[in-house]
Amino acid sequence: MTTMATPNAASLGTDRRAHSLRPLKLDAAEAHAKGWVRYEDDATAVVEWDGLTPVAGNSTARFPTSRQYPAARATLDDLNKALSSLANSPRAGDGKTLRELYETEVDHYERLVSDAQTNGRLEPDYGTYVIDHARGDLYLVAPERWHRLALVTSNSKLLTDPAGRLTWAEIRQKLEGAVVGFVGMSVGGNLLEGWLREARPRRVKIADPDWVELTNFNRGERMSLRHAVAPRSARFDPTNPYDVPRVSKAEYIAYEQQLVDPYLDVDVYKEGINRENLDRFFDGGDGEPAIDLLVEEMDNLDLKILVRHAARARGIDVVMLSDFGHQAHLWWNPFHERADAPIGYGADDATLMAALAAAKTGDRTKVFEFVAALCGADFAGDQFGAWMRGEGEQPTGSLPQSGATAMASGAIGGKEIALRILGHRVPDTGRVVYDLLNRTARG
Amino acid sequence: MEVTTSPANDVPPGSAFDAWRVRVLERAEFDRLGIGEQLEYFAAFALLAPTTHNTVPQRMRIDRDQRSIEFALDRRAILPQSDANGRQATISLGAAIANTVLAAEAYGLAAAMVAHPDVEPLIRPADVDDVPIVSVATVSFDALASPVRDLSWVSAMVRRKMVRAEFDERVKLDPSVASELASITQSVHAGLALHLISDAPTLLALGKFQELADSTVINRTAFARELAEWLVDNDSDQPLGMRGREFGLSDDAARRFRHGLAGIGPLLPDETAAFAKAGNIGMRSSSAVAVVAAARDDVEHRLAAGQAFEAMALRLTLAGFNVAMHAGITEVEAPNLALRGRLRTFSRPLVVFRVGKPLNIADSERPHSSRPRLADVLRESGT
Repeated sequence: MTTMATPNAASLGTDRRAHSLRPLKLDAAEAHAKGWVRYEDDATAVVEWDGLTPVAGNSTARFPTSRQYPAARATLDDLNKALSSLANSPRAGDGKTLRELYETEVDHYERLVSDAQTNGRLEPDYGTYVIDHARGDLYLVAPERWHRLALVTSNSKLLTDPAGRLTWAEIRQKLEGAVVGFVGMSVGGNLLEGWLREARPRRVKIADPDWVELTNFNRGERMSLRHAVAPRSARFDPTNPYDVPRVSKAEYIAYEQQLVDPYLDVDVYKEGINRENLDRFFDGGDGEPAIDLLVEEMDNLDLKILVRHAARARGIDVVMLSDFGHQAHLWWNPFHERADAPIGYGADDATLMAALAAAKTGDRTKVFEFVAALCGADFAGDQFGAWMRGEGEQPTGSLPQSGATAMASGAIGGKEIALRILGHRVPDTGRVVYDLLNRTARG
Repeated sequence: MEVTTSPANDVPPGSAFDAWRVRVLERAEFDRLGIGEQLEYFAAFALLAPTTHNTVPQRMRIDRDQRSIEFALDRRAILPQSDANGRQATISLGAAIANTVLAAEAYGLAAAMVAHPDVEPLIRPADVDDVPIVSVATVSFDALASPVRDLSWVSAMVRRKMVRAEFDERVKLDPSVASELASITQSVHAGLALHLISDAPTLLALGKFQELADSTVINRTAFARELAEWLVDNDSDQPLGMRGREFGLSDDAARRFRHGLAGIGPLLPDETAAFAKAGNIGMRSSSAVAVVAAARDDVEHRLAAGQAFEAMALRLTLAGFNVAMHAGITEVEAPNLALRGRLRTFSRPLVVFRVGKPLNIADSERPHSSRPRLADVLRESGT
């Protein structure tokens, strides 16, 4: 008998940050000192490190110059333009302005460069090596503080708390420390993108059981041919054209986001959220944090309700952006403030649960009645309504989704999450409908 | 044949479900039967075995003198679109034989099966001029010193049914039961290999392959028409075919699907996609998915795969599990080849079924499928 069993239960205690595509990090100073990273005469970088073996099958990897991307200096140069030396430069936690800290860092960096050159070493003991073992690339990036600072400087201080009292550093602390859980990484991936761009947190948790398909590309953030299929080496029989291993949707998006911010930790639930791991996702454990807020973007009707029950029991807010044709429907469950808040916008809980049961009998109209109970009866506007009624041509068997509406949903969602983390209230009704076709918004 | 007076909740009224009302005899009662009655009793359990699309293609001829049952296939019940080479019908016949063999062992008889040579080319959908019945195998019975199997296996035959519902992924298959399933497969035929899958990524892949298979065939008009013929209304009294409720469909939904697949009513692309997706979700929710693969795809191995499947299904029934067969993944070449890659085997998957306990308890009470009368599948000598 062949068994292929990695039961979910067994993985509950594992560190989910270690997903299969995770770019590996090595502190440059330590890597140089221990010989984990060295350069040959032609500047080829050689990584000899046991940490490579679990993901690459080999403890040694060679990177020709064409696959090396030393980016630390560029990061410091980019910050040089961005960070102000004037009186209103934000104060960091230690009382100095960002610009003052930057100047100190650059001085430190230049000394290390000088030292490296004096000793005939190619790179200074500065920054972090990022090994993209999936693509065979080696990056050398600035230390965490400066790399991550560069990712948010352009956001300036556009985001504030409702009273506008928090300092830049306090705002950063709140946003960086928030742990948002995303379940369903299709439109959820759009919201993740929005949240990360807006807030640049240190950690997120994501869950999706599906794999990437080309038909997702119209809306999938950072999806590309790199993720359409796994490499041929993943096949059992390289000549079997039907054996086409795919790429986990949760892992691809974690990977892509970690190529933006390699210091970002992502707890990846590539089996998706389910009844077995639900508590772990919400509450954390074994070093994994609990979530502060849930983004729900799944297409499984049962799970949509299940996670809301779990969130309500824990007093955790849930936000969902539903892309119905040209409309992006924002729906908040403000469970943090209201333990009795209903799950759906369009019906009370009892009606919603009855609609859920009916929706599982294969009757198409009952599915839409459930959607109406959850999202409101006006969900089916514009051409989406025509699709729902079965009018006209239907080129797809799946729910139609506009790529731009999904992107807009991600932008709206990212902003909403950031505002909420900073203490802003949810909309009075919990809902806003952004109608991109008619260029209107309504509550 | 005796009939129980208090049927189980999942056996609907009506003659189409009488087969499930067969009573499990005590051994002493069985011993008092004549050999003809004993063989007929075994045939009654062969009738309960699952068959593709509930076509019930098995035909049986009882030979008292030879103490044997000859098993045949009615080619008119082999589906031209979904089973063009008779693989699924042969596997179904193997399941019927399994019930006979296992019942015999429980009542103190040894059963030996001999597959008839050179029948493989004949196991095809019937054309007008073809001889409709193809004899495939004969099972002979001899007395044992004592029964080698518990009667609970026979009870399991009456309880076993396909439950095509979402299962509860929290329910795990006990490793000892998993080992038993492997032993069962090997004991049936050394040329079979069992792959038992319970990890989430592979279950997802299997779900995707099944969804691909279902999407492929449902979008083929000829297949859709054929499926419509075998998808019957929930309140039908037909002895054959699958009722929509067995898939969790309401009366209206079952009718809409049947009409839509037949081309006589509306059915939208997202509805068939949702139907295919349900199989995907079913796979992913399972405690395990079992794949029986064979080095050779011939009658011998197909019969063996059917026997192994039914024996495992019964063992799992005894352990409180339900099963659901997914034939699409074995019959549509692209997902079948994809499955081989995923399982890292060059053998052909012949049987794929999922194992679990329904998430919604009510789903475990879904009714049994219908059956014809035993007399309708028994052949007289010389026919």
